Amino acid sequence: MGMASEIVVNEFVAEAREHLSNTEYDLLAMENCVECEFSEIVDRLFRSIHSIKGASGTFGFPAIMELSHAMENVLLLFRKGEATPDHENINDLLNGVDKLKCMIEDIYSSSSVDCRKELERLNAILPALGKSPMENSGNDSKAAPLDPSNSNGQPLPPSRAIKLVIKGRGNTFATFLPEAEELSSALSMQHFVFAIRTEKKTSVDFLAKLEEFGQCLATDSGAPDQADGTCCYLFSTVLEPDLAGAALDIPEEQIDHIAPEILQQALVAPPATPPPPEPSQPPRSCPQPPLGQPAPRKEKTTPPETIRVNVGLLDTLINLAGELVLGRNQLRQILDATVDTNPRLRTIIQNVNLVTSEMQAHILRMRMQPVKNIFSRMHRLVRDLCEQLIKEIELSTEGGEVELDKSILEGLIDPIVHILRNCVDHGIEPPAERIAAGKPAKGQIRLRASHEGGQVNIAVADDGRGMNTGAIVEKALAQGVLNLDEARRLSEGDKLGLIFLPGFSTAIQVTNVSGRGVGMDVVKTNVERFGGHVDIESVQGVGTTIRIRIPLTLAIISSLMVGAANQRFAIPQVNVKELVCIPVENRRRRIEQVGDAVVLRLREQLLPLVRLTDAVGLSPDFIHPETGERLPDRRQRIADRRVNLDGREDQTDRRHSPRGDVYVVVLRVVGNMFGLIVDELFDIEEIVVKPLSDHIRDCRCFAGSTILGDGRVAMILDAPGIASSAGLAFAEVKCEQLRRLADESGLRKSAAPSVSTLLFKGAPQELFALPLSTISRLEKITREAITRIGNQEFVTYCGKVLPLMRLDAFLPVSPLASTDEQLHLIIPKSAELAVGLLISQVIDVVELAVEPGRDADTPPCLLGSAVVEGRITMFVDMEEILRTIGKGPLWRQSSS
Amino acid sequence: MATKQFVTFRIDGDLFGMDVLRVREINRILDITPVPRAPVYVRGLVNLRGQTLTVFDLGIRLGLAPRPVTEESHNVVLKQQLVGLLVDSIGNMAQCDELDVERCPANACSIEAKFIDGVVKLEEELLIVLRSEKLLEYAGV
Repeated sequence: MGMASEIVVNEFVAEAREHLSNTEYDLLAMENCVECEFSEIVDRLFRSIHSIKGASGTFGFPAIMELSHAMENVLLLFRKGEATPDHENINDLLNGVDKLKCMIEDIYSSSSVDCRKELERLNAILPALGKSPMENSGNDSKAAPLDPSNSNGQPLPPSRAIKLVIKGRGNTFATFLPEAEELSSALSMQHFVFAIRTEKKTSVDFLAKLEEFGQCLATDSGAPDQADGTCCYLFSTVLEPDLAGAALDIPEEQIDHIAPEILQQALVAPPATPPPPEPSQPPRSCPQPPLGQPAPRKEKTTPPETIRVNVGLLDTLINLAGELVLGRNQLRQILDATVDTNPRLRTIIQNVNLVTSEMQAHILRMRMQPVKNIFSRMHRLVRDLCEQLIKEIELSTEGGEVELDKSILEGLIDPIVHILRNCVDHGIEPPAERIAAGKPAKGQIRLRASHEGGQVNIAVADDGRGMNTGAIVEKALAQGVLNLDEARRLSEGDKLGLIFLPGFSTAIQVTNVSGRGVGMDVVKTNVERFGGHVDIESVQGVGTTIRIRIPLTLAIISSLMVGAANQRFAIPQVNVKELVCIPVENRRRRIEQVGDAVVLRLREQLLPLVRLTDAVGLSPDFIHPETGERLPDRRQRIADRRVNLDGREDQTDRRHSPRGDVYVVVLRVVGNMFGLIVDELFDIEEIVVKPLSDHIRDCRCFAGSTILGDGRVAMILDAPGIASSAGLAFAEVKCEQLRRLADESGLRKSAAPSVSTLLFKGAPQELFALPLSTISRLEKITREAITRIGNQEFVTYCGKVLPLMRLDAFLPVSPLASTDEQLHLIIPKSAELAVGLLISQVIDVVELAVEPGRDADTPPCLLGSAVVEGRITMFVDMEEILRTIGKGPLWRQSSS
Repeated sequence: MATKQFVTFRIDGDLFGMDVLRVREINRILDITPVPRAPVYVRGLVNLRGQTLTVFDLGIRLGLAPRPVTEESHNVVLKQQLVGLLVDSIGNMAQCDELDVERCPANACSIEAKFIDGVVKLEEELLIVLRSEKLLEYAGV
């Protein structure tokens, strides 16, 4: 057969590509699959490689055929259990797959691709197999053309049955009545035809298997009294004689190859009228299936039918669908006004509405492809990398059925490859190190896709060494992308985010695999190009998780429509976090100036603000509240206020919406938020994204354009672009925020680690605090136990006389209420003095991280005061008290 | 001998021509949405039956003054890209032999030579033939 037409060959190439991509996945799966899956996988591999072989033979690509044949042979060995799919063998097969891919890609020069090495290696696996063990199987089979039951020698009518008696090995006979048309088509496709005997009644399963590998043309029509349970099938397949047996998992001697010439003869021979003489030996055959039971050929459920469609065609269709949606919207807007005049119009509009929406949804789905398509090639990547880096890693994938727009999916390949490379190279430790860290030697990488809202999450998680944020910051400092001051302000999350900076790499050594520092920023830019986000999470020693969030599709997005300077803009909903309306009376309180930035106080956060008109370079205007005309707004900043001639600020500000309210759209860009001040807010609309021409693409503020319901074009705003073009001083605002937080708490937190503190009461309304570390014991005493000698009070404590002191003697506080019968005693830790502090009540021991504020008015013996649990609490300076009383003559006496 | 056909239009009174094979259509869709921060010669975008068409102000593109939009203004939509050229008015079709397109004299007019393919002497006046591919060329930033 010569070169087939180009269309057919292209078809073959497309098919072969698909087969090969599955093959790779299956080969890897085979390497570590469980027993029960094994045969299924081998079968699948077999089919894939085989159809490549078959088609390449048909179209005249001998090199492809030769290589695929060699691979097929190896698979056969696996199947028979004569070779094991070990690492080496799988490697050889994978190399074969690579070569095949190579050939397929440039199909017409496939023969010039050198695959001798691969062939040699593959053939080396099968020394025992020799050459085609079944080649001789058909030799002794004979078939006699016999009378088709209803024929009269005329050219074959379409559904004529012919009778075929096959004499098999061991003098077995089988009689078949195949449809002539099917038989001839099998022959024309160069299929091999076999007569197969089975011992047992395995019909349904076996037939399913037959259908998988080829076509069952007929079953034995032998004597119905055959009772030994054997069954014969006439089977046509692309499998060659040496493979058929293995594929079907039946012994070779039960298969007889029927030479095509015999079949040809049977087809053309004038049918003999008498029925064939019964063979002397009764044929071993099973009873014919009962009458009325349809031929078992189509028992297997057919997979959903698919056709190949040119992507360009699909894209045009999507474009048209988008336009149809627009047309519908326009129609609706116009008809809404007149719909009441003609009641039938409403149902028609609704119907058109429904159909259009549904059609659009379906058309969009056509571009969707399962994530599996890219997940599957990651197995190969990880395997090869492991080999290269001598690591043991298991990659598990989840959620392969999640679907994404084709173009997004393709754009994700690079980011995922980069992330995986990093995981394998830097994330997962070498086996020895893992064992030392108490982890299994084999590292785990989990690749998981899932839906979340209108977005898809793709997470790559490893259980490796995690990221050392300290090292990242150090490196960033060394590379000068960050200064010390900035470094100090970074949160842990921010530190991890540093790895997304261009040119950043923490790898000590640049390896083949990664470490050149171009990886992670590529990940980020690629993902952001689709309106996605990358997050990173890492615990040192435990592992790293990188999450990619991406929209389902690019073509249609839901957007918030806003207006500024009499123009409308669309903001993709994914970027919008919330809408804030600041009533005119709150403006002065909530909007203020921090350095160069205008900020909004939003729930104790400072949010940088950008005016949309500034960001896109339009001259701002406002509507005059009395005349209703648009006037230019000459104010430099939103925070600027009108000042009247007498110097007072004007309380009634007219700008930014007719009422003077300010509308702020809070936008989220990676890791940061900012507010966009717009003049008007409209509805949320589903818009069709139209790409921008080259001439406009560079203006950064726009992600695309769209056509609105009224037919006008509106620009789609690009939140990250606006943020960067407005030069948002995120850092400055953040810094200010921190400063205020510190101010508000009123206490300098940083210097005060948390301390266990005893809270106690003196006079009924007075609270005191003392660090637990200064206290030796707490005792409960009754008022009667106190003995008074002169001005000094004593109690007997542990057989000794203990002098007592009261806080009001040292501090300007109220004395204890004289009514309390039960009192408490604090005995401070002191080497020199034994003394008890008399208090009324112990409240609690709490962990406090505050340092009491102290000023010039604070009396000695008091560290200061602070608000603890909502009440003013005085912090007692026990050291100072002890020092004070230690000077009195009595104390010196008693301590000696 | 091959004949050439030109779509003709006027800018500042001068007659310009564009090979008819490079023109997709001529329309009066002039509800232009301006694109802030775009190059000056980009007048904005219009909706061309569901596609967004970038409209160039041909005056600015050729280094002349911006065009005011009048009753006579038209949009000459090119085939190569979705780009329309805003012109003052549309003239008749012009036809000439391929060989009659002469090289542009250096002092022909005040526009950049790179945009000019050549000139054709018509009966009454000179037709300046524009190069669409040069007009569409984007220098980047």
